[in-house]
Amino acid sequence: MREKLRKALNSDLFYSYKNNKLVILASIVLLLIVFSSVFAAFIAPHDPYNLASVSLMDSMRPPSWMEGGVGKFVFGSDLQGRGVLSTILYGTRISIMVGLAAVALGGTVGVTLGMISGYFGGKVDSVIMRMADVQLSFPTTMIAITVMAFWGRGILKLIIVIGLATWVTYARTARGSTLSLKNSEFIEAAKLIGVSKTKIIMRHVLPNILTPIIVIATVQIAQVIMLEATLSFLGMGVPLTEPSLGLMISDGYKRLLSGSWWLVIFPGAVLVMIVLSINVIGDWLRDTLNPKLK
Amino acid sequence: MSLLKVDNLKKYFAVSSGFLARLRKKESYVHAVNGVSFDIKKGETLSLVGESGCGKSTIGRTVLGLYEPTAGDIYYDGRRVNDMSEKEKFKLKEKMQMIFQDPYSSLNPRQKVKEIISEPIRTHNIVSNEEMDDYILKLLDKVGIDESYLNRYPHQFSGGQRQRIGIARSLAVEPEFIVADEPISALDVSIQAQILNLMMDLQEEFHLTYLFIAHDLSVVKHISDRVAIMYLGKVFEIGDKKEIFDHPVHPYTEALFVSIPKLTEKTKENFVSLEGDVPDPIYLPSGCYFHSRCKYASNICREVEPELKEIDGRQVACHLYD
Repeated sequence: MREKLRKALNSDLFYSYKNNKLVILASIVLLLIVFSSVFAAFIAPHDPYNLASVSLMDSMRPPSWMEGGVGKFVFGSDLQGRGVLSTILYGTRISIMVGLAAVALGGTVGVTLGMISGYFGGKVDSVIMRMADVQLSFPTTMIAITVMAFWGRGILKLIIVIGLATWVTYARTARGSTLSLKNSEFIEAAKLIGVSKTKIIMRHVLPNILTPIIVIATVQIAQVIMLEATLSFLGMGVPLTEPSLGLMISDGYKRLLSGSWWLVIFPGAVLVMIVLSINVIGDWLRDTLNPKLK
Repeated sequence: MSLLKVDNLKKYFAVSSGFLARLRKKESYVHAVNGVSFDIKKGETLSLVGESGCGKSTIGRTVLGLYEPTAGDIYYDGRRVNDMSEKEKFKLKEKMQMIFQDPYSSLNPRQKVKEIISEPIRTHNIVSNEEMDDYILKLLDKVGIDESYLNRYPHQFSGGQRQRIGIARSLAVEPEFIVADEPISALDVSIQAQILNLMMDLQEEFHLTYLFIAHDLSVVKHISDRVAIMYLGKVFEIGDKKEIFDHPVHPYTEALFVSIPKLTEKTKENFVSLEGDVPDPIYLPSGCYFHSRCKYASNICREVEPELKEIDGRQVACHLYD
């Protein structure tokens, strides 16, 4: 364990991390947001999903430092009397959960199909890649909107739809990397030993194509969180009772002109911070893990 | 009795052609191997020699089943490989292995030495899991890798060490026959002799039979019992090493041997290099494939393809000796 830690601290990746202030900042911001949303139940002033803790008497309070604000609602409250800060903490948890789960789903499907496509080639390859081309000719957002419009709101549905709407990116990368790998001598050696195709793909192909996949997945988390926010904003994402950041922004936006700016600005700022810091980290990972740039 | 017999082996690779050519059903092929026959006796080393692109590696890979032959037969221990069931073919992988050219791409960079070597052992159940560690250590000892390196990754080794690990992997299934595809050409000169000697020691210890693929003639002279000279996917001359090296008969062999650098003789004066390039393997020349570059070429060479014939204790394919 200690040996592993020492190795990690000596690695090129950590060296480059140490010397990049922007990435350090981004990771601290991201870590803080993730941490506070995971432990929302302990940090948030009240539970916005628990109707018993909500009172209509507290509706539309401005932030606590303004006139009419109360200490209980640091960032103000919404029409139902839910504290904006509490809702942000709970909502971020949903956004991040959807982001991670959808990327995991899309990544698994995409990488599997991509590796199969690249390794076997021929007709299998043509079928899978034509499917990808067809899907790519429709914007991801449009596919997601169409399916969600028919299927209705729901977190699990959202994860499945977003996951399956984004598999193409992973599939293409996985296919390309597999193609350049499949003629290497160590794959030939495995074939000569008689290792089964499944084992060759799992043991010899997958570990060697992971680097670009990890980079893509990182950037995709940010994009998926954005997509989730977009869908929720359009009223096709999470259920009304469990608002995510997108739904909060959509709710608040309707009241923006009546002066209740706090309903939009705070969740919007958190969304921007999440997406921005993930993108910064993703870009840095891409640059450092790419051997061609070294 | 020969361990491996190759009979009139052909291997063509389809060149991916454009849409229009495919419509007109005009597919072109790279003719990598054009009817090669040879056999290898148990315990001997046959070297395939020739310029790059003459089909040596293709033969090696086809013999091992990595490529499907276009035509021709391969017999192992008297049995036709194509007649074997999948199960028998799997069993055959225990007997035939390969040593690769590039030690940098022949080991999976994400696997430790232990995992690399245990894969063939597990796949073929050579030893039980309890005996695995002992078995791997013994193998590593045979190829000269220290046992403390068991948990290292390939990038922590030098080219020579990697090649030794690759050899240990091939030996793990206790093979009889090994195709060595230019096993030392990617290594430093100082390491080449070590690996070559290691291969010869292992051959003696395990009674291995080698199909040795090389273009370096001095290496071939060191390791082979018999030599086959190849050009454009054909064998031009095949026979005992001593016979062929002492007096080459085929004009191409002759030209090839003149190109060996020597320290003693004044080779520069009577050095005749070959004119021109190897013909395109997509559009094969008529007659003898070598006629465009041969200084003895006559009309018959341009029209009739020569057959392999017994001359001076070796087989030669040349019209000069008709």
